[in-house]
Amino acid sequence: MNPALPPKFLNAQLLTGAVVVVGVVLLMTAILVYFKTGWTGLHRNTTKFLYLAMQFLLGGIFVVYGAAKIYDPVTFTADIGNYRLLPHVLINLFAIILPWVELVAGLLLILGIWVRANAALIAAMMIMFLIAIGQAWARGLNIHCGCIGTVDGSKVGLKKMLEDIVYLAIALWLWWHAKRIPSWKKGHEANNRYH
Amino acid sequence: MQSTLWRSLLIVVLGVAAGLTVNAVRWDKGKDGISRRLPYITPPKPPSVATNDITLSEAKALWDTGTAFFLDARASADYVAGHIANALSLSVEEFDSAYVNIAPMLAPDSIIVCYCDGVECELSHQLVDRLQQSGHSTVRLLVNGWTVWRKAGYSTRTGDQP
Repeated sequence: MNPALPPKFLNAQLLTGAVVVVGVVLLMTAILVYFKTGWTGLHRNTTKFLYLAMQFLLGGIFVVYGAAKIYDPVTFTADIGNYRLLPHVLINLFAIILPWVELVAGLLLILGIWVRANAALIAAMMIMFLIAIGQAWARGLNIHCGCIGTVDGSKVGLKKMLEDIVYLAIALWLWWHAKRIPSWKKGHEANNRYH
Repeated sequence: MQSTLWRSLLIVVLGVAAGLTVNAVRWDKGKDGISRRLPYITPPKPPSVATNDITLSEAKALWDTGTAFFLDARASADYVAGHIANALSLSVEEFDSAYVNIAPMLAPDSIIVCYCDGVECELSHQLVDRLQQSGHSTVRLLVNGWTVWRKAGYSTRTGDQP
């Protein structure tokens, strides 16, 4: 018997996917900044550029994660139940609400509305997820994380926690920088206008 | 700082309102025909019906006497990373293609022990269903099989060979 061998490149494929997504976001942001401020603006405002890119990236991730869970809430309830953290009666309510909070926060972040508040909220959610995953991992529960609905079948574990820590870091960075980033409206000339 | 907090709370309120509203009005159904609208209060779990579950010692006895086929329901990658010695890989996700290779070895009345990993793992349950649909009557299930087997220190293998 020769069982079908697993595609060994699966992880490399995922990694490539992530790199492509980040690359596309960076490129789109660069184009956007170029049209707003010209090359000088792009060149002089690396932090601002990075800030905008991270805003799109984190916002996009949350929109996708939220939308996937909204699409299939039934699976998500099972995933929440597997964490054995919430009281049973609350599982459905949580599955109804949480994806929408993610979606709204992600959308607002992409649109650049209330970046600080959104980043803080996302950071808080990330900490919550990290605790949930951490306790499941520590208890040796071998479960799906339910992180992106059924799109991603990854099990909870160190890899998922590292991923979440990266998101948490981005959210905290956005939160930290939000009040330091000058307004876009007048390009690089408005560098001393803080809001 | 204060406005950040209030705004965060407002975003949560927005999300809650959107979630509750959409759940109240959505009418779409999943692939299995189950409505995606959820009851706000989680209904209690139905009591689990009698199953084909066997205990670890029963499984070990079957393994020792060599009277049962052990089938690994997990993905082939997990099988390669480690499995119960002499178990065959029959990933549920590739059931249709993989079953063809395994079927000649199984008589309709051979005892089959399915396992996967994790208390909540659905794969072995699915495999039991699929095998029963394929006409096997004596299918057993070792819940959380890989973990309990390994922890008991029984014989395991790695690689794609049984």
